[in-house]
Amino acid sequence: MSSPSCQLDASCADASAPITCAEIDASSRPLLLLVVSAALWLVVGSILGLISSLTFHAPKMFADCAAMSFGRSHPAANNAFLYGFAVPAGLAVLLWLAGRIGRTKLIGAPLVVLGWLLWNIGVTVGVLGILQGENTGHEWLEFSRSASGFLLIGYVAVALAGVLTFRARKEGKLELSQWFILAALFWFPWIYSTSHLLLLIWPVRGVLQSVITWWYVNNLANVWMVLVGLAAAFYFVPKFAKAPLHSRPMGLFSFWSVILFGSWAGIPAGAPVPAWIPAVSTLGAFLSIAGILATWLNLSKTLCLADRHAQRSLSETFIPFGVKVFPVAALLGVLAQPAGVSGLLNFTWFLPAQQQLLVYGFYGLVLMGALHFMVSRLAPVADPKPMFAFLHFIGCAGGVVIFFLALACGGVAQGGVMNDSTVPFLNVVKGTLMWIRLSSLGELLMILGNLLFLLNVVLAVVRFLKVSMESFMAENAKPAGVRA
Amino acid sequence: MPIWLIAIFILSGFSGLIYVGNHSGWFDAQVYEPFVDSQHLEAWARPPGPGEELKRGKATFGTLCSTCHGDTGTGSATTGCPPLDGSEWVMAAGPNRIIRILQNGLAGPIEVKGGKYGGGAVAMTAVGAALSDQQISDVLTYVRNAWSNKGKGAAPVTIEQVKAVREKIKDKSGYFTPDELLKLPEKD
Amino acid sequence: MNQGPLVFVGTFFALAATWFTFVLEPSQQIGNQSQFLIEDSGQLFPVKPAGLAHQGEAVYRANGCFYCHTMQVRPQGLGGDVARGWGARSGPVQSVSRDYLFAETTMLGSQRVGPDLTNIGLRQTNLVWHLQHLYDPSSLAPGSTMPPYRFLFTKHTLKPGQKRSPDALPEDPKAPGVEVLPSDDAKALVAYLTGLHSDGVLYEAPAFYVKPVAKADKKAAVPVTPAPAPAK
Ligand code: HEC
Ligand code: HEC
Repeated sequence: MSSPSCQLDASCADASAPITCAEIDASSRPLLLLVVSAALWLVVGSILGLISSLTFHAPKMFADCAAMSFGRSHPAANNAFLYGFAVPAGLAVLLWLAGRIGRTKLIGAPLVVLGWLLWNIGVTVGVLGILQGENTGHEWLEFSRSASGFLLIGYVAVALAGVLTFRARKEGKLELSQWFILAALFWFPWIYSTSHLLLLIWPVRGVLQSVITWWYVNNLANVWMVLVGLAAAFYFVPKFAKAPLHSRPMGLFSFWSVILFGSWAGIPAGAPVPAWIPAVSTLGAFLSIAGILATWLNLSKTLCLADRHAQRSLSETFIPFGVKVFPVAALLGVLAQPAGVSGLLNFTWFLPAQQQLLVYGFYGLVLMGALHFMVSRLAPVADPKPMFAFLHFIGCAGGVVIFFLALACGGVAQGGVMNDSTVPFLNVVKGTLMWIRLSSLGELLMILGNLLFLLNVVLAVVRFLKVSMESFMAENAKPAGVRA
Repeated sequence: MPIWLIAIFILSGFSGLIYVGNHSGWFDAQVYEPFVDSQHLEAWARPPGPGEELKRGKATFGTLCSTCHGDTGTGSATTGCPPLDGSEWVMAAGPNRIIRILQNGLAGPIEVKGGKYGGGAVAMTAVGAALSDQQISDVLTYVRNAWSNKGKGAAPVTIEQVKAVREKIKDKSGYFTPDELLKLPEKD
Repeated sequence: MNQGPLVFVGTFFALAATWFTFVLEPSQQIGNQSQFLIEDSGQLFPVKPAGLAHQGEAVYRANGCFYCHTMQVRPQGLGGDVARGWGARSGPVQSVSRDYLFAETTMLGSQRVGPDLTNIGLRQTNLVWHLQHLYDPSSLAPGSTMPPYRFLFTKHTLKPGQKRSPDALPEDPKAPGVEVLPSDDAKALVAYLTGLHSDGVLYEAPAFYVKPVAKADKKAAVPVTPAPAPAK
């Protein structure tokens, strides 16, 4: 039952493989749960994000509505994106890739379903809690204690299925992507449980809380998301180019660079901690430069072998875009680190811009590309119309580019006047408004893109369910005599 | 791996190390930007102008303690008097033990800063027994914040703490031994 | 060769390294700091906030003020914090770890949509100003993008002859006869804000002082701008 849309699955079609691609995909269907909820949270998050930025268009809009005020809708949006979309979508891709590359069926489907349920209970409780004022006060870890407990157990359940699947692989030698997959599966529970314990269960005192929060944020954004995004990129890019990866040693170099130095950068100079902490953070940022360049070189050398004129699927537009964004976003992060630049850019809109470029422009787009591919295999239905694909891509990619450019320029301008004490603070505030409002245009486009993503995923799943329901009914409707 | 990539790696690591050299304060917990190291910080710091209780404590120290422990709290290996400067007994989280030492005296072998003292001819007599709560609090606060003990963030010894400990040991007579004290918590 | 264990051990090692550097070591260094005795005044710094201010911290946290306001002043020579008057220490070091000893949650903040609030308790001591500002920021700072926190207040029309409560905000000439009362949360929040200050002279954050030293010592000779690193 190999479908015609499966041309790209060359590696699975290997004659020696005792198992077909289609069988693996069929066993991976429970992952669709993760994909659908991720797409839903992505939309919820981006709408909450738009609500929070309305503050800069009409500050008085939610003066009487506590839940929608900036200080609540903004963290709710961010957490919905991170824990509603980013982590579960990443898990879905990790598990599917573990099966695909390891040529084995998904093991532990009940664990996935259980984990998915717990995880989504956690996210719902957490987001609603933030809107009601239950905020822990630690950025990126705003979820209340109970909500994050659900998340942790949910993650462990799903990741356990991932590890079991990983262990069932047919070959001891690992493909490059598998290095990233394995590291990612273990990374998250360690960082999440450590920071959870030290911030919420037995809270440490004083600034140590901030140090741990920085550690967590940098680990999640610069290590975990990069590991997952690159696992997908190193799997898909050679597939699209129909050629092997440019260089495996360079890929391994990227791997070690990410896990060794990725989490160091990000503690700003002048933070109220002993001077060595930001200094070592800067050293880590510098050390990661070569790894970023290696990743960029490796992937773009492979990509340029792809046929430029062929009809391209959704994944083939999304993943290459994300791959191109990665070095830009990562290098800008390094650039903002040393004291000289940090003095200008820290606390301005530049940092949210860079962050959005990394977590949405790179990670989000690569993941959406991978998920489109995955969904079209797990629930095989016709490809979307070209117009749809075009709007979807423009929404996501165009949106994030506009958002980034507006806020990055605004941030540099803001940093300049903020450090000039002759400019009254209110003028600094007013000077940024134009840029923030421009970025809202990007946000609108991203909402459009996210909505189309949700639509595509839901339609595919619904159509697939309908088709399989019908064939199931048809089979059971056969008169008993015929079957015998 | 192209050679230029390795060159970039080495070069960026090298410049990162230079940055650390200039900005890390040599990993000193007391050094914050823009100071470059602890000497730089010292050069900026105020001259030691003791506050009132530190002034009183210093005076008490000079008349009662310095004969044995030395003017700068260095102690003396020949007489077996342990140092107070940098002593872990002095800098303990709380003053539970040192208040007892002053009140009843101390005898028996003791380890301070890795060296062995006491247990010899000279014991520490109950020099504090005749002092007021306030005087004990002053002298101990001074000892905890003088010489290299300064700036380590040792909390002052309050009059209440002295009162509380004195109340607890009012029935005890004779010297404490170091072993006896080690069984007590540093801090209530 | 089975590479699984290699990757696993490598990952573990990398994680342990960052954990050691950025969690364990900092907690060894600043995890058990205590109050500092300021020699001149004999006072301890930082001071434990009063109960109401402590409640106010929870309001500050729940309403996410820290997404727009930082609570960390950068040292002299880094950005314009000192020039803007956000710092309260005369020496070059501004915010240090010890300042946050009694914060239940340390909310340093990462963005400055609004001004830094580290020393707002010294800069703006007027409680009524704070309440009015929370109720309607743009009435005191025209063009402010800070959202009004009207949900922290109750508003009702005075009956004829009814006296204004002493707690009420000053009457708005455009709406005579209307009384705006701050809720307990609003009062606690203002107690918190007015209690914020990081001005203690500490060992690690010394006051402005030039030690009379020989000319050769370049470090102490340049008092206001931080001295460059000495050649090693
Ligand atoms: C007669 C000499 C003498 C005088 C006076 C004296 N000490 Fe001691 N001190 C000693 C000796 C000897 C020991 C060690 C006792 C032992 O274990 O044998 C000691 C131990 C100590 C210790 C514990 C060990 C350490 O080094 O941390 C402290 C604290 C201390 N003395 C503080 C003081 C203070 C404060 C005063 C003044 C009020 C004082 N002493 C006066 C002789 C003296
Ligand atoms: C959307 C961003 C935003 C949020 C959220 C926000 N503020 Fe502000 N805040 C500002 C801006 C912009 C200013 C400067 C203009 C002004 O004074 O209103 C400001 C000014 C202030 C000032 C005056 C500072 C000074 O130096 O004069 C205080 C006090 C203040 N905010 C407290 C708060 C509190 C308390 C909260 C949470 C309940 C809060 N802010 C939430 C943006 C914000």
